[in-house]
Parts: sequence; C-alpha cells; structure tokens
Amino acid sequence: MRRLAGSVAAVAAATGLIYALRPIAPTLSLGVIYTLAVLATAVLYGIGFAISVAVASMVAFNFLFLPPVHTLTLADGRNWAALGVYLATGIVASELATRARRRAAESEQREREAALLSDVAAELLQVGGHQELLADVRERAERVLRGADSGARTRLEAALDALLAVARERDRLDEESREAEALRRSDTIKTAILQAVSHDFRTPLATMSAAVGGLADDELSLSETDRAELLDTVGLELARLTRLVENLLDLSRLQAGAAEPHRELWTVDELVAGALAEVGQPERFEISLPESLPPVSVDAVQIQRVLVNLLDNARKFSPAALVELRASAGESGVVLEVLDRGPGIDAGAAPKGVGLGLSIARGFAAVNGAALELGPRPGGGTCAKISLPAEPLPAEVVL
Amino acid sequence: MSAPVLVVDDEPQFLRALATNLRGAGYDVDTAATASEALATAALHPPAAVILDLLLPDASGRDVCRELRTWTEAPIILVSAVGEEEEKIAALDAGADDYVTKPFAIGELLARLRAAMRRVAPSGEPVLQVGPIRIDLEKSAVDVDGRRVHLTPNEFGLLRLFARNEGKLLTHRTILREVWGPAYGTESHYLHVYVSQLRRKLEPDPARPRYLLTEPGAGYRLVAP
Repeated sequence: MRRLAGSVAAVAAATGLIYALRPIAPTLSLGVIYTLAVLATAVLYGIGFAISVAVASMVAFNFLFLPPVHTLTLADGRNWAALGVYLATGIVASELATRARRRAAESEQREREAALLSDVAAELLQVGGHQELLADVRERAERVLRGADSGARTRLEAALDALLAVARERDRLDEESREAEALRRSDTIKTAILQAVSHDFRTPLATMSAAVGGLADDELSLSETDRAELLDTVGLELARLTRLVENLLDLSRLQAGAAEPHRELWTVDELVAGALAEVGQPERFEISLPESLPPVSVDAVQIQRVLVNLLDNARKFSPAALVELRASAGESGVVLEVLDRGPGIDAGAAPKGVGLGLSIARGFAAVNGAALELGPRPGGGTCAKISLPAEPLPAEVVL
Repeated sequence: MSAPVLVVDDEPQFLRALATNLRGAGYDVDTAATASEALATAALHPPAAVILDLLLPDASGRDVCRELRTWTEAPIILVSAVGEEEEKIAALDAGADDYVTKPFAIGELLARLRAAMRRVAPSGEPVLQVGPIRIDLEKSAVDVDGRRVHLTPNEFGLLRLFARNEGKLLTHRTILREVWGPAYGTESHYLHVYVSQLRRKLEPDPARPRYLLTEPGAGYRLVAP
C-alpha cells in the first residue's frame, strides 16, 4: 500500500515539475523528467512498480502535455518513444537496484555471521565446559539465519562446527592438564603427610620395641617396679599409635568425601563425656558444663573426633596447666571452648602431628555445620572455639 | 572339661594372642578361622561363649549370630574394627551380646566376657541394686547413695530396663522397643536427650559418667563400677 502511494506520488511529483518548468523549456524535452520517477520507483520498489510507473508516466505525459492535450492518442510516434525510454529505464534501473540490494543484504548477512562467530569464539575461549553454551549458540545461529538462504546456513554451520571442535579439543587438553596438576599436588601433600607421619609412627614403635626388648631380656635384672614401668610405657605408646592410625583413617575418609554425617540430637554432656573417656588422663582437664543447654544436631562420632583432637592438642601444648573446656549457649547454637596455656597458635613452629589433628577437627566440624575458630586466649595460650548447631526441644516433648 | 570359649578370627597371630590370653585366664578355648568352621566346631563342642570377628572371609558376623541364635543362648562378643559400625549394629540386633573395638586391651575383653557369662535371666526381685543406685520397682522409687531422686515416667522406664540388664550393651533399637513399645515414634529422635537427662540425675559428674555409659554409635549400658 505504501509502495502504491509512493509510486503515485512519484508520478505526481514529476508531473508537477514539468508544469513548473514548462515556461523555460520545450514541453517535449521535459518528458525526460518522468524517467526520474521511474528510476526512483525502480530503485526503491523493484521492477513491478517501475513498469507501472513507466506506463502511468507515459499516459500522464500524453494526456497532459502532448497535443492534442487532454486526449489519449497514441498514434504519435513520440508516445511510443517515450514509453520505450521509460520502460527501458525502469527495467535496467530496477535490475541494477535489485542486484545492489541483494549484494547489500548478503554482505549484511555475512557481517552478522561473522559477528556471531567472533562472539562465540570469544565466549568459548573464556568459559570452560561448553555444553550449556551450545544450546545458546544454536538459538543465536537460528536468529542470524532467519530469512537467509540455504548457502548461508551451510556456511555458518560449518564454521560453527569447526569452532566448537577446537573448543572441545581445548577443553580436553585443559582437563588433562588440570588432572595432572591435581595429581601432582595431592602427591606432594601425601608425601608431606607421609614424612610427618612416619616420624610420628617411628617414635612409639621405637619406644615399644625398647620396652618389650627389656622385658624379654633374661639377662637384665629388672625390679617389679621397673617391669611395671616398661609395661605402662608400652600401653601409653600403643594408645598414641592407635590415635595416629585413627587420625589417618579419618583424614582419608574426609579427603574421599566419605564423611557423610549421621546427625542425631545429642546433649553436649554426652559428646564431652565421650571425648574425655577417649582422651584419658581426666585429671588434666577442668570441665564446666552448665545445665539446660539445648540439644545439638550433629554426628556424635565425628564431633567426638573433633573434641578429642582439640583436647589432645591443648594437653600437648600446655603440659603445666590444666586444659579447660567450657560450654555455653551461643546465638546460633552451643559454644564449646577448649582453652590451654600453651605458647599460642602463632608462636613458633607447630610440633609434628598437630596439623593432622587440627585439619581433621576442621574437616569434621565443617561437614557438621559447626564453625571452628582458633584464637589467642587472654592471658596467654590458645582458645579453640566450636559452635554446634542447636535444636531446642519442641514444647510437646515431655522428658 | 568345661564348655569352651570359641574364638573366631581369620587373622592367625591375633587368634593365637587371644587364645593364649583366654587360656591364661582359665578358659578352655576352641578356635576357628572361618564362619563355616566356627559353626561346625560350635555344633561339635557347644561353647559357653563365642568371641566373633565381625568380618570373616566366608560370611558376615550377623549371619553367624543369627545361625548360632537358632540353637544356643551362649553369649556372643563381637570383635569389630573402626568403620564396621553398621555391620556391628546389625550383628547386635541379630543377637550378639556385646562388642569390643580393635585395638582393645585384653582386660576389657575379659571383663566383657565375664559380665556376659554371669548374666542370668531377670530375677523376680522387687528391688534392683546397681552400685549405689537402688530401684524399688513396686514403689517406683529410686535412691542414689540413700538419697531419693525423682524421675519422670520415661526416665524410670529407661533406668528399669538398664538395671535389669546390668552390664549389658543395649542398642538404641532395643531400648526404644522395650521402653516405648514396638510403635515408638518421635521418642527415637530424643533418646540421647532422655538418657542425658537421666544421667544428670544419677551421676555426680555428667562429663565423666561412671554408671550409665555410652557406647558410641551403638547404645548404652549401666554398670556398677
């Protein structure tokens, strides 16, 4: 509709122009002005409208300007000449314009394809794991290809495929090098742990070996007290060795992600009692457990491992002073504090074995949703603070 | 010759050490390295007690317990390792009486064995005494060192069950079933809280319980120290 109106307007404008120029130029030569209208419609609207405008222009020229004016006689050879010129102009011009338009559209299409390809290439370079990206790319390719011919589709798909293949290959190489790096790093960690641990193993083994050797040797004259002492040593070293092996097992479980907590409601009383029974030497610890703390929702075995490691460390660092354990109701749970009078966490190099116990404590605390913080204790020493998630008893539970 | 203690373990050195210690403690000892050997030996010489490794090459501990329980009430003590908790509970529920965890002191095993062999069917006595704890079943009254303590009905039910099974490990499931009946519901969620509450009323120092002991991951037992 707009094209029709445009075409009519073009003929009308040419006619108006001829009227206006008639005083200064011979009417007959002004007929050429209609070619402007034909040209314009040919370029803008294509060959169909150009032919219509050519015919209309010829009719208008004949009717309005060629004598006898206001009649349509085509007997005159000039009419045919004019019509021929208009038609030829229209056909040639519209053909040229169509070609130009097609070329422009094609170059626009190619530009869009190139833009998509370069976008996709950039995104593939940035992100790893391209599976999510693929669906998105396909959708965007469809948008770019809307209205394009099948050649464009083949061309774009081939380019995208090549790009994705490169990305996939790069991913694979990345993955391989990441794996190699992870292996190398875990290997380094394992070597470090093994070195630390083999020392920790050798000490109790050497002690026990010496003690048992003494007991088994007939040539030594040992008093009953001596024998009891040696046996006691063996027992203590065995306990140490046992704890070490347990820690290593815990560590491997944590590292393998196999430490899924089995949460139940426990009282802090019970968790502390279990840990104390395992640590031994009750006289070294001063415990304060207020009544009516809410129960906590944790894996009791794992939290006992946390407490045992914290108590054991504190005792090791604080040989002269009592280790204190205090419980209190905190904002989001029950707070347990293990306090020693050792050198403090930042002072000096940590003796061997501490790292293992502490990292296990951290690991088990984390899987139970319990925050573990270590800080200096006012007046000297370390304060290890763990906050266990509480779950107050519902009102309807009657104890 | 008195009835032997049957020791079942597939680790020869461990088996030897255990057998030696048990003979030293005055028991006759039979040994077996596999489940099938254990069942055959038990059928030949009915044992007075069984010490059973939880993981055997040819069967699980729970299968051996179930099999033994079809014809003998002899106490069964499991020897378990860290990481076998699930199997341990299953074997306890299948009829085992108690367990020790490797590595353990031989004294501990002997104490468990003595307690398990001494245990007899519940007496009809109206008064139970465990250490300083005295339970009058008729009056539902409890005294600790002559001092009256007031228990809620749930706490009393728990204590009565523990006292009737003095020294015996009671699994969580057993406790729930015996105290609340087979249809126990939300109580299972709060069992540890009930026990802690009871302990606060019986023990002088709840952080170092002496009578009502927790077996981590397995259950509870009441002992007279």
